[in-house]
Amino acid sequence: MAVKDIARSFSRSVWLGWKVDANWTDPLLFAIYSVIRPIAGMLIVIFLFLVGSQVGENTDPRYLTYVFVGNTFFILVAQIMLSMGWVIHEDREHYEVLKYVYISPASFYVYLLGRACSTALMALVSVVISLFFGVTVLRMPIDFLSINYAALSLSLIIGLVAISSFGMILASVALLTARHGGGMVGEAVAGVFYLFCGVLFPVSVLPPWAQAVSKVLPLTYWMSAIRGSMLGARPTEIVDDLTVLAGFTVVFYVVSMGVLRLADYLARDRGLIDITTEH
Amino acid sequence: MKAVTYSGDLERNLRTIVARTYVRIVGSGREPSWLLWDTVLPMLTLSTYIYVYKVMNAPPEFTGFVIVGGAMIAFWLNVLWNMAAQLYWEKETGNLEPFLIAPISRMAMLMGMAIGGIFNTTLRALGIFAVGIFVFQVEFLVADPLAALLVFVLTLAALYSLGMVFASVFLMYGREAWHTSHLLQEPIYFLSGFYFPVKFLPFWLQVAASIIPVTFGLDAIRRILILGAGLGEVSLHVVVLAMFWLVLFFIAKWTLRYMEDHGRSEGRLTLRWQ
Repeated sequence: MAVKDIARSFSRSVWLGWKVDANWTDPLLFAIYSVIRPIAGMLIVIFLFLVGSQVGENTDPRYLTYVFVGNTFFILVAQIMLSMGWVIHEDREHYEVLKYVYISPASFYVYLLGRACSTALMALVSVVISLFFGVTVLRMPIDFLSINYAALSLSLIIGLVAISSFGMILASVALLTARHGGGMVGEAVAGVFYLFCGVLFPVSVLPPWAQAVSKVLPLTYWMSAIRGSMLGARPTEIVDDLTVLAGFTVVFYVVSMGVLRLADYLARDRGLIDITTEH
Repeated sequence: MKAVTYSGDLERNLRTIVARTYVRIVGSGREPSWLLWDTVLPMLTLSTYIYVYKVMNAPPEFTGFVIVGGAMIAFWLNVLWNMAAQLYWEKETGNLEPFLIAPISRMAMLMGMAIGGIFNTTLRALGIFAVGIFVFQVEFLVADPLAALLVFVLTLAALYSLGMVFASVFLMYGREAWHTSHLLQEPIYFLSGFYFPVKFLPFWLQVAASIIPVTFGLDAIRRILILGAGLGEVSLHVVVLAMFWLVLFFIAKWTLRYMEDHGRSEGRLTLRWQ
């Protein structure tokens, strides 16, 4: 497949993802909708901190920054996992177009990558809005001038590839499962990352077995790199996290391609490409 | 020709309730993985929030507050997705037409869904409580079990009546209502204090939260289960929940009829892929 064709398939599936997510209402209402949920999620964790600091003994304000940064960037993970866990069911059973995508000349992997990218772009907008809301309205102690933007960009790029690879594995599994229950998988996987990857608290708080789990999850290193970049860490302070993250990302990317190929073969073999489960 | 009588209508609608309840309960049994996802999934997020409280050395009752909030989230999600959105699913799968031409009350159909949903969700909520007790060692101080039962029943009655109101909206709208259901998750978790007592919110947010029945129900259940309160201490909650139930039930009856008539005149009742 020529690079030009791949680029065309990719851009079309990004556009399709945008339309599916956004064309149900007018742009203003969509913008309000897109902002309210992440801000409400942010308010939940900030109030957890405020309540905890009123009734507990730990009132270290640096922990608030820790919670704020972790929760804000986790929007990317949650959105991509949710979207990729559901996209196959939506295309196959709701809109009943998966079979047409399959017989089109576009690569199915590129198509799914485009859908993930579409979600990632919208989630990035939510992240930026949440950051500005947190800093300007809620007075979160983040200094935009001291952020290490180069490290942040690099962390985001590598991290998004890792998250999309996880999403691709979810979509591959969805090819083999029915609609009922399938939509929950994305939330469940996001929940695993939320608990084990040091999003709202340091992983050292977890029991030893859970810390072992967190060490083999790339998003633990991603969270650490993102947090370091946001707080202006020097490159030497986050190079270890970025190196481990990059290594894991390569592994998960290769695994995701293999899993999709296997799921694709099994789904065709079992006649699941156009299955509908009406209950 | 058999005459249509009040007792005949009553019997038919009671049978409708039983039938719809049966489908819901049996349906969940066909997909046991739902139980796993619905219990494990919220526990991951709940565990994260419990660890935040642990990091902050909050008193142990706050772990209990999160567990009770998580159990009530199961009911709230059931109301949003299996009650409110159910008519949307039926429309999408082509089942809505047979429901609408059957000589049954829409309220009876929805009531059956509610009872079946309450049964299934109670099992999931018990799973969350079990994790709270055995994993996080939450202590429950139930001094007045009857008060707990009364508040629980009234909370669910008010919640599922609200679900019936939402269901009428889904009769008319497609993805708009779908996205609205999404919108009623995190903002309601925040406002109704699913993860912390609502008294910690600023006053004006507490006022805003008071229009949501689950705010009162959750607060009363926490007081009874975690703080050992009796009926006297939650009497105001009981009165407010009973009022919510009555008002929402009648609003649901009216909106269902209105939305169905509106949907018929605009030809939206059989519209798919909105």
